[in-house]
Amino acid sequence: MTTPLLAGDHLGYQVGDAPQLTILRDISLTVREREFVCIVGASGCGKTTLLRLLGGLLRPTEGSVTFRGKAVTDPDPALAIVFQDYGKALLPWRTVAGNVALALEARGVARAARRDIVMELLAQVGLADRADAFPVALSGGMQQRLQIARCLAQKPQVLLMDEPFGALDAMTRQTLQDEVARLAAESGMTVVFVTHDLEEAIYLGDRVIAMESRPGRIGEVVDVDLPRPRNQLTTREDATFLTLRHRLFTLLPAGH
Amino acid sequence: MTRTATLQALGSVAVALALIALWQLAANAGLISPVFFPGPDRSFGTLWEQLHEADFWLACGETLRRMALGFLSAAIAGVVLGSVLGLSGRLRSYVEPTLEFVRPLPASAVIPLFVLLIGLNERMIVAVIAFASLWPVLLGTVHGFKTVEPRLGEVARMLHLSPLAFVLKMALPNAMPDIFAGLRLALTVSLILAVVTEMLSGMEGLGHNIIMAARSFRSADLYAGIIVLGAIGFATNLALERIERHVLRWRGTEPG
Amino acid sequence: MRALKGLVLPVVLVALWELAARSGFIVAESLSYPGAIARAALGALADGTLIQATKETFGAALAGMALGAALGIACGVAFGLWRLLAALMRLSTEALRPIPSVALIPLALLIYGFGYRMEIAVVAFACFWPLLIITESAVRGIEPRLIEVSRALGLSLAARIFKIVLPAALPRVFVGLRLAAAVALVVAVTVEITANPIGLGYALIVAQESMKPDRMFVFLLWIGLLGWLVNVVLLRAQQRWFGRMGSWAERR
Repeated sequence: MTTPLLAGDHLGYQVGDAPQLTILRDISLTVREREFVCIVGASGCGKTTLLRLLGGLLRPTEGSVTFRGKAVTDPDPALAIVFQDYGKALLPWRTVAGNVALALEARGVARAARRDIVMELLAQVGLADRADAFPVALSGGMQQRLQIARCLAQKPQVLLMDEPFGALDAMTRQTLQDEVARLAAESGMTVVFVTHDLEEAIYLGDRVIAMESRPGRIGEVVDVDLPRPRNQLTTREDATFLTLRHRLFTLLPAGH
Repeated sequence: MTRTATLQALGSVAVALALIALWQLAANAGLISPVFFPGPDRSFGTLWEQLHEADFWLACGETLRRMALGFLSAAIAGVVLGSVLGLSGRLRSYVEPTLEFVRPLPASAVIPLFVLLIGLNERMIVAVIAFASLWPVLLGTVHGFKTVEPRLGEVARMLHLSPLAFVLKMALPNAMPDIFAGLRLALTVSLILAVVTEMLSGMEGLGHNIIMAARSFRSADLYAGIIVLGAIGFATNLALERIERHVLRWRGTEPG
Repeated sequence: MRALKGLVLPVVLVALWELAARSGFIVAESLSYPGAIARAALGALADGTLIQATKETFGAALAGMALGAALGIACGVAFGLWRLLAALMRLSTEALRPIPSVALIPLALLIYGFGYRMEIAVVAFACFWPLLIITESAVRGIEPRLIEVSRALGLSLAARIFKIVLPAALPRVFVGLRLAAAVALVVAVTVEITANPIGLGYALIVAQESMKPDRMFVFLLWIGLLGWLVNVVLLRAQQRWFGRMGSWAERR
């Protein structure tokens, strides 16, 4: 069995003094290299908190997070986080190219080499022709792609995505889902994808972790045995897809 | 410009000219005392004459020089101090209440103090202008640095940006709009204080010119001086706005 | 806790100042020190000059603000409701606005001579502009639906303005009034310092010219305190009556 790349061991997270609120309780999970793991749960179940713990933005009150065997206590470029509120995670005063370059500057990439790398990444996410535009001129979907490109520029080992398509319309969402799937497959990237959309989780994941709410804990973990590459039309009509959906649907509270 | 916009602009020119014509008629008909309200012919005529006199340009130069010196030193000091305060919550909690008290203080009220400290001379004038112009820039800068988007802070942590890189690449650009708002206010203040100090100190300058004109009942000179001061206010503001628009071009078009 | 922290800096400064004066580090005659200032304050209070000067400054500032604000709001409403008027007056207003109010001090002096009227005139000019701009913007921002309703109800122009437009614009206009109050105080004091022999500004200059730095500081600090108080009182009033920037009738 391959050593997990990223692991959470009996994680717990509480806030407040009196009363103390338990957001996460006894969460253990492992993420293997090149896996696409989806975490799905209702709003408020703590899945975003879990992702932030995995990314080192928060420290667990119980348990620990390990990355390649070492404890995660602070954020690291190797664990790239794609935030849901993309607008707030981009620098409005830099162009599209400038935003991607930020990650390269942080990495210490030589100035001369930056332009080529930036353009290549922008081509990968389909923004090559908007390199000199400012974020304010881009649509929501494009801004999210820009954030993804910036995260890829970090040369991450894990991509942690926090409901990245939650603020987008259905059509853009589907396009981006396929793009992320493609990017992950091409680069062999490990992805942890948090969403409240059950179908999105099954569509994208190799494995789906379904969380229960109040407090957040792991409900069920299922392997997604669907062939790749996946297709928005055919995969979603596949029998296995529907079975999985049926199985996990009952786990999540009604009307989520 | 659209057709309506052009027509309206022309219309406003026409209205302005009509008002000036009315002014002239009233002066000619002796409806208003020529001592207090010289007609536009005399006012603009005197202005035209003054523009040909070396003394006028000397006075103008003095006023502008003091404005520039005071404004620029205040701008630099304000941004530097403001950035330090804006980034340090701890320092702020000690200093902010005092700042809140100084903010509403009429800047001209400190003139007697500065006269006592420095004397009735050139240095006093520039010092007063700098003192008065400092506050808007300082407060604007503090606000700009205070309100850095927390999400960007997380991105900075994730990328392992150095504190200096964070300030230069995130905090400072983020503060620019607020800094410019403070600068615009400081510019207005510097003109006002230049005029006031010149009126009080009897030193060569536009402020001195108009108070002398009033005391010797040379109303046309007075009006000419007022027009010049208005023009300076307009021109300096326009220049600053142009700079602001260029530096902040990433904001895109403001919503109509 | 915050109040205590905020007091640290001023208390330390005052203590240092007192120490420097007592030890002869600074020349107490030219700069005075907290102890002497406190005594001078009591003196100014006792001989009535502080109160009298305050009344004069406040009187002029209030009158000027009332005049300037009334005109500013009236024009702001007119410009807000009739775009054409605003467009036609654009050049004239943009030409007059950059004139610093202090530049009009000599003119007011020429026309009215010393006294209340010249000060009121300058203050009114200074208060006119912020209220014009803010009122115009506030009226433009009123939910169009409300205007349509007022038309449908067949309200007369006066009724429309007083029953719909002004109440709807009130939250923002109040912010403008707060601004104008601060401006009025500053301009009044400035006029008194520069030219007019009444009020707190004049007392300040007199103290300085008669080489009484302790008295000068009394008036300086008093002016600062008044400015701060006026701002705090109006801010509280605004929050109480209008919540957080409660623009209740504005277009979403």
